[in-house]
This record gives sequence, C-alpha cells and structure tokens, in this order.
Amino acid sequence: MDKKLQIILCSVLGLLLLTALVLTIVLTAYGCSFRRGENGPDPGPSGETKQSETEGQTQQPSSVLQETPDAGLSYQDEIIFVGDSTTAHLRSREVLTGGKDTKQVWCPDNNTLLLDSEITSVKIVYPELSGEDAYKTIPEAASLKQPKYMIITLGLNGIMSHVDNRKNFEYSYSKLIDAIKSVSSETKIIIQSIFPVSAACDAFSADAAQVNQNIDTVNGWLRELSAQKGVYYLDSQSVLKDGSGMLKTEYDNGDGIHLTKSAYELLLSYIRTHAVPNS
Amino acid sequence: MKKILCLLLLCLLFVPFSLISCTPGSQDYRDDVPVSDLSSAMIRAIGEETSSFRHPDSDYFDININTEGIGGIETYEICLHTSSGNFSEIGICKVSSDKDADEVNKMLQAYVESQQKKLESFLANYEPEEVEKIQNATVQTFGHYVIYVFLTKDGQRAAFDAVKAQLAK
Repeated sequence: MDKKLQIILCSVLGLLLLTALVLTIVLTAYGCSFRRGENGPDPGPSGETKQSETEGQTQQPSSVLQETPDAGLSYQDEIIFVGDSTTAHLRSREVLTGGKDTKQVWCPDNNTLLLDSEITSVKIVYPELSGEDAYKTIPEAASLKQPKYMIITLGLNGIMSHVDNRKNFEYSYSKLIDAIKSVSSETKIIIQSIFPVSAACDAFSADAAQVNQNIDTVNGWLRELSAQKGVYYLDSQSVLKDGSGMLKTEYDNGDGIHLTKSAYELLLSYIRTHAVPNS
Repeated sequence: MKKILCLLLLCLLFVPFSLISCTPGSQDYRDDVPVSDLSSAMIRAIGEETSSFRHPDSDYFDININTEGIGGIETYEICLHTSSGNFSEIGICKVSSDKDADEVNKMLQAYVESQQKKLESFLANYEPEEVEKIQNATVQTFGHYVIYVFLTKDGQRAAFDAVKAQLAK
C-alpha cells in the first residue's frame, strides 16, 4: 500500500480510536448521559381536557338556595362549617356562637384544606373532643356529630389546578359528599361558593382577574354538581364582589384572600336569609 | 505501518463493546427489590419512622396521576406524611422495561408539576421547609424504578442515596 495512504489511514483510525476512548471515559465517569431525564422539562399531558368555560349554565338548578326570611340564630347555630382557611377564620373572627371556642368550625389544625382525592382521609380537629382524640376525618366527625346542616367551602386552594381538571375536582368533591351522606344521611349538605379574591391578591400564578374568572368557572361546576348530588348550593360569593367581580376592598383582610370580620357577618346574614327550605 | 494499522483497527473494534457495557439504566440496578422496601429505606433515610407516613386511598394514583397510554407499571407505592401541612411525599413506580421507565418518568413529572400548581397558594402561608419540598420536587429513574419525591434538598439526597444502596448490584 502506498505509504502516504497508509499514514492517512493510520491517522484517521487513530483519531477515531481517540474519539471513541474519550466518549467511553465520559460516559462511564458521568453515569451515561443516555439515562432518563431527571427533572425533565417536558410536562406531558395534563390529564384532562381543559374545560375552563362554564358549561351548562342555562338556568338555575333547583338546588340553589333562594332568598328566605331570616332564619335566625337558632338556624345558624345548627350549621357545621367545613373548609379551608376562609372557613377557619369564622372562628378567629369570633362571629359564631362560642367565639374563638365555637364548636361549629371543622378544619385541620393548620387551618387550611386542599380538595383532592384524599379529602375523606385528611384529619380535622373535631371540636367536641380534645387532645389526640380530636383528630378525625370529616366522615368520622360527621358520623359522631350527625349535624343538621353542613356548609362546605372548598376549592380556593389549588384553584389554578382545579380549573384544568374538572373531572378530578368533581370526583373529589363527590367523594366527600358521598362519604358524609353514608354516615350522616339526615345532614343537609350545602356547597358554598368559593369566595372571590381582591385585586391585591398575589398568591397565585395568575393575576386576580384570572383567578376570579377561574373561581367563577369552578363555582359554575359546583352549582351543577349540587343538583346532581341532591345537595344545596349557596351562592354567597355574590355579596362579596364589587362591580368588576373582585372581592370588595373593604372585605379584604390584607392579603387579597382572607376576609374581614364584617365580611363574615355579611356572609352569615346571607346564610340566614337563604336558609334550607323547611328549616 | 501495517502492524500499526492492524493494531489500531483491533482497538477500534473493541470500543463498541466497551460502550455497550456502559449502557445505562436497568443493567446498573437491581430490579427485584419490593417498592415497599425502597420506600421504607427512603423514609428511614430522611430521619422519619414509616409510621409517620400513610398510603393514600386506592383512587389517588388514578385520579391524580394521568396514566392514560402508560403501560408497563408492574407495581407502585405512594407515601404521604400523616401530619397536615407536612408535604413530604414519596412515590415509586416499578416498570417492566427501560422504555416504560422513560414514559413513566414523564408521567410523574407531569404529576409533580400539577401538584406544584395546586399547592402554590399554600406557599405564602407555610414554613420555608415545606415550601422547599414543593418547589424542589423531583423525579429520578433508577433502572426500572421511577421515583418522585416532595422532600427538602437534604432529604432528597439522603433518600436517593438510600435507593442507590438498596438497588446496588
């Protein structure tokens, strides 16, 4: 073979060998970069077709609580309130009978609650008991108390996710309703609308207008769900809004989400004047 | 020169074999460890008792994790902390093949991002440690085990070290 050609061939082969050796060393040293992505950025499917538009709201389902004469404190005192921090503050604002020691508020000890498929397993503080015995799931507490009325307010926490997952949201809410009904069949369950946020709210990844739009969408689902499940729907959020659909500034406790004492007093007035029929 | 050429050629032939032996994934790890053993090891590694964690209801996986089109999940285990407000969570999926591992990794990544979105409104109200767990949640693959965690950075390190120790050949 021509010597020149041999040299060229040798050089090429040598280069190839060097490249292959370097590649081998790199791959071995760094655990082989073919390995599956860690913290891969591709999110994949989100799981549910987005149904952010309100659907099927052609007329008010009969489950929506209509205006009634004021049912009074005796009615209000028979209601158990279950929910997240916007429910927990009924206690801290001292607007219920018993004030800070009211036995009408059922929330976890961290005063917040997320609606997901674990909602029937999460422990709330059952105020009729103390110490470790007080930690009960909502169905366990309902079984013990057999409340006459139960107002459930859930969905603000996780709203930006809920609005993309109607099926999951309704599944979880239905799961809770069914669990309560199975242990306390006489309880009149009332789904309360999610409250609006004010323009000052910055707790979510979207601006307040978008958050409120999402809240309105999910509240539409709750209206329909209440009719499907044979429970009541309380549209109390309507009294909290200003003309632009935001929580009125005077009802904002400062963080755009939580409510003032006067807001709760207004809500309780709404509850008493939109009582369950024949109560 | 011919000898050198032959030698180089021989060396080059050996390289693909060494590359094959470097192939990652299943060959690096055992695939016969029960997911419950793995989760227990991870929980102990972060300084907790297994009794501090619970398994969610049976619908948790199907409701919260979009498994549509995903096959090859032989078994799985999810562990949630029993204390409200403690977001520690460990999820382990055992799959049948490297290809399944890729798909499940993406599936769990989507779940992690969905949970982060769901929990974002909690961030302002929680301890920095819990915020860290949410913000730094991650998914990693160890052979035929795809694992997601909501743990602190130190917790992640300890937990994944425990996984590597359990799955070491």
